[in-house]
Amino acid sequence: MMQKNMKTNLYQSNPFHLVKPSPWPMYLVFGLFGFLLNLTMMMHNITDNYMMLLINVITLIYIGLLWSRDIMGEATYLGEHTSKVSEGLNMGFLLFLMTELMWFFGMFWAYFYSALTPSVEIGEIWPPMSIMPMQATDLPLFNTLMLLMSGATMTYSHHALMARNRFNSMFGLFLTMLLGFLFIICQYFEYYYCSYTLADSVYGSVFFMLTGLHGMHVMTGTLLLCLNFYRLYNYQLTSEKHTGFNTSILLWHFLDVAWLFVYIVCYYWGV
Amino acid sequence: MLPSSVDKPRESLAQNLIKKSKQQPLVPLFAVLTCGALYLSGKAIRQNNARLANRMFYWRVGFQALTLGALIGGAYYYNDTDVGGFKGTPQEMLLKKSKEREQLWIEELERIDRESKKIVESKKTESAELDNGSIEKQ
Amino acid sequence: MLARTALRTASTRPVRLFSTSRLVFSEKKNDTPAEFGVSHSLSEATSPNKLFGPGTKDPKAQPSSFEIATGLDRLELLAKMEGIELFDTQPLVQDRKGTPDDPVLIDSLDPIRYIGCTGFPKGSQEVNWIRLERGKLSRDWESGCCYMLNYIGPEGNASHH
Repeated sequence: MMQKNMKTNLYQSNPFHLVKPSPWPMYLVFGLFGFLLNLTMMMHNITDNYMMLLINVITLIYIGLLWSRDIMGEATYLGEHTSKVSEGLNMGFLLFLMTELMWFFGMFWAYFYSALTPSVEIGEIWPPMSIMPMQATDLPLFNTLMLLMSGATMTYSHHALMARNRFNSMFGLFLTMLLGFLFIICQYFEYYYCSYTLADSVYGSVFFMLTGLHGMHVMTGTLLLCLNFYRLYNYQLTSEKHTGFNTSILLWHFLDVAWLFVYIVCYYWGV
Repeated sequence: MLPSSVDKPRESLAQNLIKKSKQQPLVPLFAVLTCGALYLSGKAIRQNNARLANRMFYWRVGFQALTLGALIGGAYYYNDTDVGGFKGTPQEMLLKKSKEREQLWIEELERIDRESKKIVESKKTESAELDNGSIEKQ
Repeated sequence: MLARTALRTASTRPVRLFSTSRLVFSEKKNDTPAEFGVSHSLSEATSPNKLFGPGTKDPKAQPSSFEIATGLDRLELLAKMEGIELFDTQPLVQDRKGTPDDPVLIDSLDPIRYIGCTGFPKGSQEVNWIRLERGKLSRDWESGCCYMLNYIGPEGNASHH
């Protein structure tokens, strides 16, 4: 039944949020195009201009932040996000995670495709001739433990938020961010001291594609956590309603589980 | 020509994975449970049930820790050369491994060489027989 | 610390396209400031300007939705606290087949409403989307069901949001 309170011109009669025209999707697409172009050109040695890539990354992050600022304004200050809207946002994020899952699935498929029947060019063995795979109990294990711990601190932060405990929530989130950041740093050193490169046979390609895909997502996830930290600090997230926080948590846990499989397959049992 | 794995059976990745999964079945089991917990938490978030989602995340972390524990514990228990068995630095171990691989490759090359020599030999004897006139020339 | 007072909220306007921000700047400025207010219950929420929360009292605690929710979100929350489902999202009930003399009446807050007809009994055909207009009989071409819009929105409202 329609409610009597809605028999007025004052409010919109549907729970949906009809967004106003926004330039950010278009700008973001331009930024992504430039990023992709520069990355590809750099990988194929057409250019070695790191500055352009850096500018592209900064542009991407900046536009992303501007877009998020709009969404934060709509959610917190304008109160546009009714329960129906957050339901839709949740659904959208879950669909995005499904595409992520498919992407990881495809990369694992590539790994197994080249690993289960090693071609004659790589000596019919896996890992290929003259490739020295990484030591699983070294830095990768440390990385795995850090990600696992970050999952625990994330849950701690979420519990504290639901209990309206501001300090503990922020502390837990800060720890999670720190662990995510440390993970990225460790991945950097791992890549730096790695004995093979992206161009060293199919092993290097699939290995760096899988771990790099994961690492890129951890970077994005850490940025999202920073955004959530900002919102938490500014009293924007409430104890009952924190859709953005929920979805970031889900992404973080998803990445953690994806890393478990990357670790088992790429570092431990698969070599 | 037959692939090299026929005359000298060597563990492939699939065999290795299957063997290890049979040897330490806890690892894949816990990994699947981890995924299950993550799936349930995603479902709970879709239904806007933050409490259930959180409990599932808790299980997710637990199961993943168990997976890791099983993985590392199993490696130590079975004295896997990758982890605990080899005495020496990781660099030495990697060097040893790569030398083993090189040895295997050299053997494979020698085998191919021997086979091709055999073929050449047989061709030679064939042509020698032709020269001897055991087969009529036209 | 507590940045969530009503005045701060009112001054926050999302920045948009250059073209639309020009419109915003050329907008006629209202000299009399709008009256903003806090609403604790549905009866106090008499206008969109009254849809603000009281704010948090304890800066050491994360706020609850009741304390800081604004806008439509707050309206929905206040309604929920009184046990009212503000927005009707339930599927329409079709208990009979509408005829031209006796069409099925569809309640609507807007002069136009789109409905999806699956025939009678419901689900007996694929969905046909029908546009209902005020004072006009609409008929599904497949099942022959007739529908009529029953306008229950505010009077004198020609345009819809």
